[in-house]
Amino acid sequence: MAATPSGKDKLMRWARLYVGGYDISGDSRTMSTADIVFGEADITGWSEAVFNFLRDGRLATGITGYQSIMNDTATTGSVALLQDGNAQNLSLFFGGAGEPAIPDPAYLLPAVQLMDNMSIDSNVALINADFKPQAGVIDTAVSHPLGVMLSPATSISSTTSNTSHDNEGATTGGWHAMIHITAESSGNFAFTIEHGTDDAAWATLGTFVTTGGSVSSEYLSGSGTVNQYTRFVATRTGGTVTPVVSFARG
Amino acid sequence: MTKKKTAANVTYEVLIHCCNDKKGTSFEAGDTVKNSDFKPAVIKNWLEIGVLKVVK
Repeated sequence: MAATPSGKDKLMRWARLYVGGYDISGDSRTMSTADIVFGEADITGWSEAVFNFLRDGRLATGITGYQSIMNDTATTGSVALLQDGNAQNLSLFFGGAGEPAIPDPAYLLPAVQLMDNMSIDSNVALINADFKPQAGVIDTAVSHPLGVMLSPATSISSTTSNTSHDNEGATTGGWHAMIHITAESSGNFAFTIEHGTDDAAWATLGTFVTTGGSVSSEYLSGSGTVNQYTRFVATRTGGTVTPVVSFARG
Repeated sequence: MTKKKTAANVTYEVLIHCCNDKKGTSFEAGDTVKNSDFKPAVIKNWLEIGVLKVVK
């Protein structure tokens, strides 16, 4: 049965940002925008009384004005995770009055970090970063970044078929997804995204390469039809793993 | 004499893993399924998007 969206209840307190398999939310302070912007083409003619426009056909995405509290803890702190020029898999989730759950909104971006400025605000040392789409990784055919969470940050130790997301209709513009393995112990799973027309019969849409054997992240995309319902399935061979998954339609 | 295929005995080759939660069945690529394994609308959709193909 498909999960029910929780409505108008998304707050900073429950926003979560994952970077390359690590939850950096505890270091995060604020951000300006997670962009979904088309440029404009002014096609107003001489004799027309109003300005009118077309989209320029290119979607600008990225996260701007991100600020992190400086944390030099090895491996998991913001200093280690935020490095100018780094390729990063980013998933930003907006939890509804609690930890993000299916199908809370998600913004996913295979990114390159373009800025790594230090600053001080209200006596606190900060790292300022901007992220843009990573060329050669992002699937430009399905680059719309706003989607949903299909797997929350929950440890699993058995084969698990998650609650589905009901998109209220099929789409034909492809899809992309991102997995963050945030914790594992001898993890050995197959991670798949499935879709279906009736929330009962399912076909595989895509399979991640990772098997959950290390803290890591992966971006996956595909073309064509995505049916009305989607879900995440983890098929266990051994171990335990915490997979956080975002999914968006093209 | 060639037996004519009817809607009831058409078989389909599975091209992409699929399953039916209500029946508790699961099929891998290369398996064959029948009309009774899934709802007609599901089979129709899967023929269109390449999950199944008709066995000739």
